[in-house]
Amino acid sequence: MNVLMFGWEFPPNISGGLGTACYGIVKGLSECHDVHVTFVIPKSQGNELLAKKLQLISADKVNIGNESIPNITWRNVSFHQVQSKLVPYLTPEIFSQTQELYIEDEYIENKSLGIRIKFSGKYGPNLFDEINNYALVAKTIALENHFELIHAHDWLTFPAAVAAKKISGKPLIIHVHSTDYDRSGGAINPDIFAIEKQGMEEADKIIVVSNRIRNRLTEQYNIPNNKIVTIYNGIEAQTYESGELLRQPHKNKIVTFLGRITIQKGPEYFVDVARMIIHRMKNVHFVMAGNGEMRNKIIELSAKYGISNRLHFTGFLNGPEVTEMLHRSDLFIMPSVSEPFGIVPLEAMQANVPVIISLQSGVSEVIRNVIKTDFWDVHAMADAIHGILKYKKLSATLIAEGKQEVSKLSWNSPTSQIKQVYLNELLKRAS
Amino acid sequence: MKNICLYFQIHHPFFFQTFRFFDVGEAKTYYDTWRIEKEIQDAATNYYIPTNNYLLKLIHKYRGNLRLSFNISGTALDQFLIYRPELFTSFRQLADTGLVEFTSSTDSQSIVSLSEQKDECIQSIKLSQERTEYYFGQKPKLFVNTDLLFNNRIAEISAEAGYSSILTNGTKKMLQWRSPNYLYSAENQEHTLVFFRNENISDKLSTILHNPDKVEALKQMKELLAALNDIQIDEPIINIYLNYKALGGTNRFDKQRLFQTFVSTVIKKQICDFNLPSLVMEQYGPISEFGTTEPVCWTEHFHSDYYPGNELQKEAINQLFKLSQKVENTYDNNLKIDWKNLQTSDHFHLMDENHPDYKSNYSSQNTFKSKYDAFINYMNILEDFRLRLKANKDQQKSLKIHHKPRPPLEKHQQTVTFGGKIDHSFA
Repeated sequence: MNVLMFGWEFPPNISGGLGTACYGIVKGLSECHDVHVTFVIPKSQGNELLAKKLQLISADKVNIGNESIPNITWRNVSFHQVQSKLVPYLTPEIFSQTQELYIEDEYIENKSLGIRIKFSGKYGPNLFDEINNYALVAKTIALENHFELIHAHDWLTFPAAVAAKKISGKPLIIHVHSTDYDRSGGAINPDIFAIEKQGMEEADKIIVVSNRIRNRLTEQYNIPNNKIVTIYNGIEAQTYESGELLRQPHKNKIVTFLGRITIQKGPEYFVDVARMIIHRMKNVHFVMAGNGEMRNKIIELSAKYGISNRLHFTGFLNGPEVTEMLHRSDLFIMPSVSEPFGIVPLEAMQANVPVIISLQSGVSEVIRNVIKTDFWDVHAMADAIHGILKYKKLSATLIAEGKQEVSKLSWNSPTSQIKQVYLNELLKRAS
Repeated sequence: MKNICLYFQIHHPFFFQTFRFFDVGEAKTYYDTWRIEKEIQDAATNYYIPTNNYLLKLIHKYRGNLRLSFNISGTALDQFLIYRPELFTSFRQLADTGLVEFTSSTDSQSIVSLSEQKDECIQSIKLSQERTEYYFGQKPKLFVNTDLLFNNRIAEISAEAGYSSILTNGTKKMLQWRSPNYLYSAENQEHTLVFFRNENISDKLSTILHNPDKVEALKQMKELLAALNDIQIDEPIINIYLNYKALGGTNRFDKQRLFQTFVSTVIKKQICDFNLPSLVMEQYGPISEFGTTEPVCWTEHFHSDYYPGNELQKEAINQLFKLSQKVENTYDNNLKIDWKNLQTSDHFHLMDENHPDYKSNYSSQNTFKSKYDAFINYMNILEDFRLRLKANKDQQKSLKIHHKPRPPLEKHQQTVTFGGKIDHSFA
């Protein structure tokens, strides 16, 4: 079967877990001999990791002709000049880049309806325009390509996917990797909410990455429960060269936070925990790897607590740097306030690092050999850190059993479940 | 004639509360007093007192044909003293019928028999024996170790502590082709008799009593009685070992009805005799030898190869008994009591991932969310205990006159300081 898949990013050009998950799904599906995926992203950088059977379409290369805006756009969403800064996955660097873009855009406003649409392919304040344009292009793509199903990842692609559905009449499957409630910590952007909700209502089936998101959808978005399927993410098996994982016994222990420094990831709790530990244990250093709009606030907070000498910031890390960082860590901690799934703990477990996660993460539904605490329970977290760093048997057990557990969480099972969802939808359509 | 030995186990541990490493050295109590009190009060009111009265009636009704044994752990006795002393009277009434026997375990349901501390283990066994004799007026003849633990070493220790027989769990893995319904002698101690809990029948009876759903349960009970009937006539002894809570609770009348069906059918149809272990061991001799170096065990809540245990349990036990010598040298009674309660096996059960607390993904009712939490908590408590021991040692040194450590706690002369000092001279 041919699947038209809409995404926003694809490795190696990623800013979060969405790209990694898309890659895993596409790769897993391409191993099924009867599935052919056409993956659409806004802007191809030319260096995407192409899986075997993947046909990658870059939306900025699609000729949409001289059509005016079709009537399939989002009625209750205004796409013009939404000056909201509450857009997902925003980092200071990207933010500054897009600020420049935004200023340029202001000058070339109303000229953008040319033959081709320019996409930045990044997250920024002109995102709503891009989404709108993406939807326009989707129409052309839907007419030009042959496919039986549409599969869209996260809200950014929902308008495009719905446009494609309207044109082609093919079943639409929506894959929710996160909702705006998770990203914003409760202070949602009504425009994003509207896009998400409409996408979910238009969809024939919704795939969510955890029961946590399922509950969110039924409670906040009013989606019937039987429309939702929970399929947990998997993780690519990593092969490390022998000796690579043999950590030199360091005198100093390193506790790592890895992720965007945004309210969703709970960085303040990490600083709180760091403060509690630093006052009681010697030779423990804390590292915050990542970037985000709360970074400056967090740096100020650490200065206020007087722990700056033992709390370090690395800025944004790319793929190999993340691996390197994990190898140097003695402990990985993810105090997320609301994490739809959370793939980094699994990566940490693969890299032989003991893991502490918050109970408010989707991944805590699937794994057992980690320490789980509530994100707000900094005492429990500090206690767990102390225990792991102090008792060698405990960290050894966590590493050994965790590694074994994570080796079972491959992409094979999720992709076969996704394929089953495809088949069910096609059967339903046929009957 | 076949014999049934029916044992009821009563055990209430001193549960630990959440103890962070910030609490180390802060003189915070280790115990979850609220939960301890709630559980023992509930058990006494809804389970033990009504069931004791019921059994007393039943014993009178069957005029000497119904005989039972009880195994009450040391920590449960402590809690009876603190919260429900009338339970002693109630059990004493049962004991006075002469048809009820009390077996004894290690004091405080301790895992000391798995450690290297032989003397301490013997001491603990003897203490438990003395306490049982003091409270119920009969000297226990059968040694029922914590969680029915048994291996060759434990057989040796129990012989040194003065027991000639020991009860353990008849797992298929250990017995293989042999039947649990005979007496065996221990491989390395030919005078020690080994009783085996009949796993099959005990588990079945326990399941039936736990779900006294009328139609289904009665059918299952009939099947169980048929199975009992089918056991060869020359197999002398069927040990049925249950938690006493199987016979109580809010639905206790259904349970009692079922239990009465069981008892009356066994007696009237002369399937078996109800007998006491002390009588059985006089009447029958060992049929063969049995020995194992690996510990055999039974835990009520979950089926698990939990002994010799995972790395965490081993580490915790190892770290615990490193302090053994230091505790011996102290004469602080509070420390001794905490030391005793630190050894209770339930804390180590919690370090196993198969524990029922961890079955549901997240429940706010449980103290711990995973075995790792339980381990960290236990080690924090142990660290605090170690610091207290050290402080106590320094204090003892600084005294001008050197006191000699007191001899080990004498029988029933210990004061229970948990939750306030309580005089137990009522007994």
